[in-house]
Amino acid sequence: MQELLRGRHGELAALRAAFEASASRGRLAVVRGEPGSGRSELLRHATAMWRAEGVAVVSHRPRSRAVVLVDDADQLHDPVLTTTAMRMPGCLVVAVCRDHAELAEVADVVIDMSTLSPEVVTELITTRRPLDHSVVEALRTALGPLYGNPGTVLATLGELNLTPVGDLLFLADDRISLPGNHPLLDHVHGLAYRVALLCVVRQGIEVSDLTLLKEDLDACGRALDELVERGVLTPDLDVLCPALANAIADRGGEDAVRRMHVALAAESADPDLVALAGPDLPDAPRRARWLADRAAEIQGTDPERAGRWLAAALRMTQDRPCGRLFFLTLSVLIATGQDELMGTVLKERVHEDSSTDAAAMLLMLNGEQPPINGGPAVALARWWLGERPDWTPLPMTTHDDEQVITNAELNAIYHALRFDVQACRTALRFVRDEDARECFDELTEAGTAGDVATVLELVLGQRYRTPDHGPLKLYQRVLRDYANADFTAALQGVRQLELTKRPTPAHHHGRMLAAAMHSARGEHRQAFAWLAKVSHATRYAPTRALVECGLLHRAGDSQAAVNLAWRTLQRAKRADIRPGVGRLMLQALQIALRNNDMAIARTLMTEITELHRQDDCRCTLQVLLLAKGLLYGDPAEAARGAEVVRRRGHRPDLLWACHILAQFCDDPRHVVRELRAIAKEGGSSFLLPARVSALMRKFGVHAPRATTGPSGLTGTELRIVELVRAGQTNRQIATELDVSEKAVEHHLTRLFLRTGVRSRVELAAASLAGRLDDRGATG
Amino acid sequence: MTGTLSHPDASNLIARDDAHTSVVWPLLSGTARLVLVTGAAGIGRTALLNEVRDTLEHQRVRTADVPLLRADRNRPQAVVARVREELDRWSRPPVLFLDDLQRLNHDVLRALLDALPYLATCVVASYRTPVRLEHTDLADALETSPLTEIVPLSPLNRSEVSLMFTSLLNVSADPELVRRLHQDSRGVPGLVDLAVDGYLRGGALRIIDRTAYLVEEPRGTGHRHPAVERIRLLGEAAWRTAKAMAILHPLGPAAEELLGDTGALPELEAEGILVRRDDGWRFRAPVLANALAASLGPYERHDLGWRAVSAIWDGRAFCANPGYLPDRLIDAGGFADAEKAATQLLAAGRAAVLHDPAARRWLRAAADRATNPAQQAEALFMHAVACASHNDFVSAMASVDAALELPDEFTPDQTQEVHLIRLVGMCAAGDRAGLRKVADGSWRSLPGGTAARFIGRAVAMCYTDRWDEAAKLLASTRNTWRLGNAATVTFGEIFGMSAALMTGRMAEFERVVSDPGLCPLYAVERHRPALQAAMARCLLLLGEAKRGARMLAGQPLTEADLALLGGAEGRWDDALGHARKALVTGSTLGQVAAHTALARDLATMLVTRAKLTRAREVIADARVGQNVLPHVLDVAESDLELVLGARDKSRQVLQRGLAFAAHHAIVIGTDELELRLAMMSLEDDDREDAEFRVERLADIAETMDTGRAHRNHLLARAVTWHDKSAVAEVRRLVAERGQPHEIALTLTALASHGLGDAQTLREAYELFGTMDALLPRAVVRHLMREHGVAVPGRAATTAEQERLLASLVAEGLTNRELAGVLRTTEKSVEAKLTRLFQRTGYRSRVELATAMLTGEYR
Repeated sequence: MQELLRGRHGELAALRAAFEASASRGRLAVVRGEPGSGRSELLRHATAMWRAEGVAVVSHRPRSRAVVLVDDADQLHDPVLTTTAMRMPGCLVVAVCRDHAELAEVADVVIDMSTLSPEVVTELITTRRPLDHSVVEALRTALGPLYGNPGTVLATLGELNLTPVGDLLFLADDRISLPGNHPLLDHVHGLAYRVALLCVVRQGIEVSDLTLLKEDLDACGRALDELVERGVLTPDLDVLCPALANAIADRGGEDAVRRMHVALAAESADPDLVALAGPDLPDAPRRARWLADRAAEIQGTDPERAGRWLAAALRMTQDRPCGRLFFLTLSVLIATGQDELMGTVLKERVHEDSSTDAAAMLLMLNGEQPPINGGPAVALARWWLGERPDWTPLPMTTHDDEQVITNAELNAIYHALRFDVQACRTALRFVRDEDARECFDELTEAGTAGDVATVLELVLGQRYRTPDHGPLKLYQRVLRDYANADFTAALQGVRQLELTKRPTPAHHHGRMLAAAMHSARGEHRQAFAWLAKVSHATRYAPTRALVECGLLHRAGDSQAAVNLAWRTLQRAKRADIRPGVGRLMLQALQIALRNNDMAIARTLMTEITELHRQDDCRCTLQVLLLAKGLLYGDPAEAARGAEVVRRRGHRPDLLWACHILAQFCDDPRHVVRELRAIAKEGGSSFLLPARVSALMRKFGVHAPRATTGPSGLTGTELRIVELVRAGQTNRQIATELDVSEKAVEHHLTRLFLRTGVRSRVELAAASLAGRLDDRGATG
Repeated sequence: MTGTLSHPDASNLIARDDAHTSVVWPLLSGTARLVLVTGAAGIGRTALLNEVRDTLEHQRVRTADVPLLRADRNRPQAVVARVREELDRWSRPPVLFLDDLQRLNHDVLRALLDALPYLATCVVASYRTPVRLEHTDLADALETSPLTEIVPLSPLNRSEVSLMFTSLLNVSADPELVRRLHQDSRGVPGLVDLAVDGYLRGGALRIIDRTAYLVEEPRGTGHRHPAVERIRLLGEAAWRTAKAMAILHPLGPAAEELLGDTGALPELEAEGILVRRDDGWRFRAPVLANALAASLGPYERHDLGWRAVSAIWDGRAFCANPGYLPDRLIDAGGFADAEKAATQLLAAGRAAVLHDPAARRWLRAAADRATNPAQQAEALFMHAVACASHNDFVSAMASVDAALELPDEFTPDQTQEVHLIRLVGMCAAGDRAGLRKVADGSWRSLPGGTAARFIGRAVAMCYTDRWDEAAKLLASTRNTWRLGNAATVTFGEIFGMSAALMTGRMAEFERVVSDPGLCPLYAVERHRPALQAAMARCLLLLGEAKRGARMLAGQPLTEADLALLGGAEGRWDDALGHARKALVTGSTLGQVAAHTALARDLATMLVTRAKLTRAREVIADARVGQNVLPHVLDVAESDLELVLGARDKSRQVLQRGLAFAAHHAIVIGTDELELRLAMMSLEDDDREDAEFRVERLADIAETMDTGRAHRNHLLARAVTWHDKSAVAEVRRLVAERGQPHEIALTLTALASHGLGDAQTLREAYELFGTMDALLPRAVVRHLMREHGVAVPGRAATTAEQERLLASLVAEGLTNRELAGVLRTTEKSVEAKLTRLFQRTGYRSRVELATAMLTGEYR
């Protein structure tokens, strides 16, 4: 029975002890806690506990040994008199209240409801709804200390906008705010509201900042102390948690916030305040110039802040457009990845030039829709988004510093994304960032994977930073996790990608990657589900076919796989689509060889050689070497190929290379070397497909084992941990692993026992933190 | 229990047995109608009443509690009705309990008292003193009434406060802590609880060897303790006034004027919170002021701070305490002029830098508020020095790092000192990786010139036990750093000397000791005692107590020095106290020789006094964090293992220590390890090894040429070869050295190898007695019986045996372990235990352990 109420054993024990002590002399126990801390829930369980023990639990004056429960005692007319009068021998009075000093004074026992531990709350909410880990994390960050108050967590969760993706719920909106009727907000009225809003707007204040409100200082001070006393503000004068700050801002609406900004900025020489108020200031145009100058001063040390000030300055000069300020602002915003501000600036702007064109392109690439017709840069973005059939490269000049993005850079981006290696190399020569030329191979690899963020970062160097939100960053992260073979994180990333607004190529690439990952694990159902969502446009055909081939081959239909590959290759050739072609050819070659279809294999080899001759880069070299190894049975070439892969540090590709190397079993030196390399780099999240593990066993290489990572867990157990981390239920895990639900339960029980964790949530948390260890039940 | 807080009924009832009897007796005997318990707020009246009710109910006397509420002053008829109702409910009227009679107004109280003779029952009541003005006449009437028994409760005295502390936390309290607690709380139990609560929550207490020490200046916390809540319940005006007075009262007469609205002062006086003196208002107990100050809101604090500061600046107020203004400047924050505030904070901090811990926060605030880089640099530097001198190396390092960002503002001397603070901090924090980087010269380039860099590297080497390397580095670069600034040269000489000493090169050590003027800072008054002490402690580590004492003569001794000297001179009770205190305040952090020697001495003393678990804890604590010269600790650890009967483990520990020393080319301390190994080999009939050890000891004695090394060599030679001349020589040597523990150990060793007589044993036995060394006494008793020597004092012996057993039980040893330590069978241990429990009346091992801790059982 008590197991139902987790995290409250201390309080229950205290109540029980108080009752034991009430035999000779009646006792009054006061349970003190904030609303939502679970006081009534505690009483309910205590009642059940006592009833189960045969103790009368009543709500009026009792005759013999009994417990009297008074919920919400502070609502009574005279709580002290009422509760003390009922205190008589044999009787325990339990009164529940918020914070009642006089009641606490007369009490025999005061039980303070402690905040629940985060693990308990996490378990509480995840058992009710299938929340993704990201939602739990976001709630925890937004609620801060309030995360220990179950009532608040549930109420906040109830108002959240959640969307299902797959089997899990994700946040549809990043902003989390407390429900408007939360008890803490009861204290935020009148002057206290202005003080609290000041604290929200300034993100924490000093006492001397109260003068900014230009009200009676003493009254403001009292309001401030009251807010601290009530727990709305922390003793360091910051709002208790982000969700509360949002709720305070919501209360007055945007207008109130704006009025506060203006009030603060008026007559102030603090650029931060002026920038916050921005165009709402009555004398905005007059101060714009001043603000821009201040921004120039700090641009070197704090570019993000400079960007905010510049954007404000720009918006403050609404009527008198000034090209130079415009260029400066947008280049700083682009270099600091402040997408939202860029969108605001563009929205209010009628004027268009090459700077707005470039900014609009970047916004479009990241899934936004800026209200600008644009020039060549926007056209490039439209091509990438599939809204235009093609794009024509621009004439290039060497140095053009008054451009946010030069023609050469646009060309380089275009060619990289098309995987036109020679043209890209040429364009790079005219690019401003010197380092860009050094990372040619990385650039082409990013291009063929459709990783726009990395392409932009490499081509533009210091002049660009990928915004923290949006499909570009997400997809880049997916690719990074995939390269590290952290499939769980990568798949979670793909699911998050699905939540972003309109589908971009990043989505399709992500889906194909997800299909590939499921396919590698032998989860065909999920692989097909992801593939079905991928666009049928020709440009995705080679990569798509790569995954499909693998699936067909594994399903036993190798001939169909080779045919599909061949057809796709012809189609891509006709449409001049290059990304992904090489890998598809290698895959087809591998399958053809296994089918003993030497004719096709030789044709493919010719194509691969031709491809490398035409587009000479690391990608094609890797394919060529591995293909040579396969076709001519040349372990040395294959090993060179594997070496190329290893230098890239791409684990799934390295496994593929190993697989190819393993064909030369009589000379296992190279395989063993590569496998060792894999084993050495193994991390906690690194999970090997079964066939590679088998390979490792065969060559006597120990599977990867990290010092901080899981140790002493079997492959199945690791798999289960991973699925638990992904929020799967026992039934889902059973389906995935193709075992019975009973077996999963059995595995989990053993895992709990061996690792010393007590619940799925703890297990997931421990594995995330790399703490999962065979600590034994005593650990 | 999480999140629950019980009113400490039990601990409020410390030393209330007499009062309890005085209340219960008149009731049961029927000699009084009204028993009135009086006393100040928090004195424990309610707790006593509750206890009395429990006693009466237990005696089957029916009782009834009539609550008197704060609001009852305004509704007199309600109280009367409540009393009547309670009396009507029972056929035989119960004993009425009326807590807090002072809450009633004059008429009701008078009516109640008048009705007393006609009631069919007795009344137990409590009244909080001081007597309210309106009740004066009633109080006088009661004093003389024959039907009334008045039981006044008085504050606890110091030993009762100590007892209460122990029952609250289950650890004993250092006398200094008790003194402070008694002074802060004025002996009122409720306030003792408030003070302890504040110490605990403020992190001001540290517990070592089951004794609590106050390591930080106690300041209140904002926690809502009942004693503070009581003031809050007096209403908004009184609450605000009380909080404001907490800040303003040190200003004396000016406080009232600064307060503005003084309307609530009389009420606070009537409630016994404030006391009016000729020179203004005081709080009844300082702890109340601390707790109230901590309950201030941020604005209130700023406002009051600024009121006090501006009054002092304008000359309208004055406070004799030099720490008052800087603290108010911190409170006033942005309200006070930054430049003036920073200057005054810096000045206050500079004046108090070495002796007042508060200097740390003033200097920190000064650094935050400094208006120019020079001022900021000075504040940071002084803050680092202040923190370092109070062993707060984490904060010191933060300031050092900030200071190093402003390199242009410092003199070379300061830079060297700041950097040394950093290294000491790393050592104290156990950051061996960081030190290793500095030692290897791969860390970020050290500040200062070439000379300073050499010193920095050498110090880092010393702190990572690479003494030999450090000695060589300093010797080979001597020509460079001798030309450096005063600090560089001083540190070079001091660390060069210590490093040489550790590797057995006494000549280098003697060179500096005989001419301390080699260190330029020796001429500076601020640095001289520290330098002198550093040299003396090296000697104490070597066991040269007499020479060390001579060197320390005439200067104020630190706790660590007192502990080391006391230990060597056989004054163990003092030594234990000083050692605990030195370790708990971290005063030996950065003093590697003293720190390790201290831990070794403390552990050794605890082992011989049969506090085995505590000894193990001390050794383990010393090994984490600042773990330099760990092989010195191995001596104590091997003794501990040997006592527990783990011979193999003991031998392994010794060998580990020797291996460590050999690996690092350390010589000091190895003689102790060798001697123990030689003795063990002899007992195991491995003469060859024993003889080999004697040769080694001869070498060490020749190299080191210290008394301790010679003694170890001679003793080993005597017992191995039964060399009569060595016996005579070692006896003469230890007698001359005059260290009781050393003498007793030597005599025991000789006797157990058949090289002594009855007199030898008796002398050892008595010496161990002076140190209360229970375990060796038991061993010597064995030896005496074996040699047919009579053990003096039969009754005392039995008592001592029992005390040894009780100590070991309290340390949590199992029966098997007890049998091992006492060299007897488990059966016999069981029998002894049964007798012990029967005789003392304790029912369990836990009860016994608690009794040992509180000093109830001795």
